[in-house]
Amino acid sequence: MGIAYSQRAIVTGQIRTATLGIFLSDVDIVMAQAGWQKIREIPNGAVYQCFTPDKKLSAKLQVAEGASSFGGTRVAFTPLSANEINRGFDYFIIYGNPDFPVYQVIVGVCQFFLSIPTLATSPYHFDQSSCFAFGIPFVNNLNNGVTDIWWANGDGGGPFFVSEHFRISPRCFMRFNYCLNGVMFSSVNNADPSQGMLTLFYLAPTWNLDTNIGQTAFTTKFKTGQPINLDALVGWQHVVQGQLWDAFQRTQAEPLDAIQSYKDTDSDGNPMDLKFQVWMSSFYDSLLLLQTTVSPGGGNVAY
Amino acid sequence: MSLIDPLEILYSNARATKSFAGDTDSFINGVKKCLVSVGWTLTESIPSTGFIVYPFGAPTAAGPETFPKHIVGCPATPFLGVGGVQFSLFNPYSETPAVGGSCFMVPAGDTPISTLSNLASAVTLNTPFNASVTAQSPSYFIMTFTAKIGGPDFDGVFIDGNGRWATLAATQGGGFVLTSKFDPEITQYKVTLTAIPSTYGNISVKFTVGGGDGLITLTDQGTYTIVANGYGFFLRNSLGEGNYPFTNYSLFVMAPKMPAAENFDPNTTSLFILGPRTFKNFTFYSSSGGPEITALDTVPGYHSNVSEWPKLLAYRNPGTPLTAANGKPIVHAAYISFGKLNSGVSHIIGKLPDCAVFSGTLTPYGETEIEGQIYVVVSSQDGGNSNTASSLLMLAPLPAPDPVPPAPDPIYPATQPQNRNGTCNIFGAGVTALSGNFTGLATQSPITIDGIPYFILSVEDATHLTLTTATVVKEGVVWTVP
Repeated sequence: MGIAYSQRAIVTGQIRTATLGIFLSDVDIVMAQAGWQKIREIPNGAVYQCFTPDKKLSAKLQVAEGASSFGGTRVAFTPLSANEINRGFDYFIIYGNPDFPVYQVIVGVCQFFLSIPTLATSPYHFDQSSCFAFGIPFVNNLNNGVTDIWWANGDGGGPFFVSEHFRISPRCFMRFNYCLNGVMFSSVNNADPSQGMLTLFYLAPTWNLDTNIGQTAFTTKFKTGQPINLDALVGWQHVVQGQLWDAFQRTQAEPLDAIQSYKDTDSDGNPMDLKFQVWMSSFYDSLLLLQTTVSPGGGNVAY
Repeated sequence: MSLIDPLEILYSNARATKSFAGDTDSFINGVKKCLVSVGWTLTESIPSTGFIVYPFGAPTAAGPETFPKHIVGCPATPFLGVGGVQFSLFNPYSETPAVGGSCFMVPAGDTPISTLSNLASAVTLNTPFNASVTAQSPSYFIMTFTAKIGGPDFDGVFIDGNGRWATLAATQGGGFVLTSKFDPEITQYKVTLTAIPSTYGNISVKFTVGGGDGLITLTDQGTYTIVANGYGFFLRNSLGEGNYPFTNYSLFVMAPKMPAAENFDPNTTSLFILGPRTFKNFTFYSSSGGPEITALDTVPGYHSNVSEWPKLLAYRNPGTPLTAANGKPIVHAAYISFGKLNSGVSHIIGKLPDCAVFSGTLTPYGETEIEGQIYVVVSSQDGGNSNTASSLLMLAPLPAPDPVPPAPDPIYPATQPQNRNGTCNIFGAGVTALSGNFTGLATQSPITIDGIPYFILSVEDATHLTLTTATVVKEGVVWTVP
């Protein structure tokens, strides 16, 4: 296996939060740069559609003004199936707070990640609404019966409603959706880890990591101090459904939002100098998202 | 080089599996044969040894010589028995041994040490053992027996010191030292297989690495099956895991491969050993139920700190076993993480050769087929208690037939042809068969001719052999081997 390079534009940028109009305008710009299609405009928002590089899979994302809360005014990001029959949660993001004038985004051909720079958890009082992620995974040839697949996760969207998502943890709690071939699941609040929630799969000791026995930060590092670099396998219900595009994992905590340089080779054996941003950093696992657009022609090394 | 670490299983180029009876001889010989067949080196053959104590000295004889001498035969209770070969004393000044006795007659000396020295010489001449005597005090002596040939075949030979003059004992400690195959990225270590009586079993398996030893005792019962490669092996028994603490049946040992190209440190000294009852139902190993041992740049040690426990890595997935989208389990290399003794931390040390981690629950000690390859299940745990369901597998080739013709060892007593007999002529040490066939009789094996026990020095052909001791000229006498 190897990283699933989309070989499409990777857009890194900022979403200004001063007003709803500025927020939506900046979203519109990055979506266009990343190749998403604006399907239609709606009152105070729009619906965007993305496709996998081979155009076989598609999903949509609605970005529109959402209900305000004690935390402030909000935009709602709502994942949709391509046919719009399945509609995920409204994942709220607060705008208009001068303490946090911008969000950062990394947008690929069919992935969207948004958060406050340097922060993994919500800084807002009375509202957990600062992070959102959405995407169609790379699906390998073992899963060729797939016609519709996407995932989404984000903050809890309310006071004290702390969830776990791909900005904090490889495993999601409380606020996520996934959809496979027209069947969508929306998380419930009282799930436990054995119920197969949306997750990234990473190598770790086989005991219950959710307790604190015998954990050391070195357990999943080589003696040289280096971690294992893993594919960003994503799945749910105890099944590896696919792989995040343009991403990989490292089995150690990395500095959040650090830009790190790596070398990889394409399927033709040609070297590539790449930059990744540490999007998620946890005790056993970090998620790194590609910031460098890989040119077409080098081949896809995944599977 | 790919940015993503390869999770491919590392295969060695030689693997073997073999089953054998659980008695010490069969075990030690069986393990040795299997390991040698996959590239281990037989470093040393350790002879069996034993000793008896003469706390009150030994009978002596004093002159002058008197005539006529009494003809004396073998008493009902010999002075010394070595594996059924009997020795009795006579007074050379007044007695002469009868011809054709069933024991070896040894002349008593003028002093206890000279009597026992004569006895040791007779033992050395007429048995598969070299014997020697040391004086601990003027009346306290120890006679030591050391097999002339290394290996376990002369373990358990009963030494009967008569009970009046000396103690009883049985030989032990015979076995082999084997050295694992050389690989620049795998720690080379030694395994010493010997038979040493113990409350917990009579098979001693000692691991030597990093200048120190780790010891596992196994119980000599049931039938063992070994799966081995050049760097380790898995032993399981038909009787299961055994019960704490007296029956001990299972053992897994492997030196991890540490490829520098995959970020491992090949200069590490490392070995990973799971003793009986520690691993069957786990893929992390907590020493519960028995000993687990690791060596990491130091001598082998037992871990009490949980962070140092040996642990395999698998894709974290509590509960139901993980599969790929096509419903098949995930199988990848067996990454092992453990800590240096008393360090409190673990690192990923290497990948276990010919081993894999399987993302599901299987029957421990059973077998499973993956893409046409048979793997034996070393250990397996379910996803209960939010653990990750996972299994450790080792590639297991089909059992190979024994080589033809069978390997020449072990020698007496294990391969002695049974119930041979015939008639022969004796001239000194030379024996010519008039009937019967000497083919296949082993060096140092016993033969009785005209009622007198001898040992075979060599077999020249089907009708000629040479004894270890010269005797008289006899014609047409009966020979038998037990």
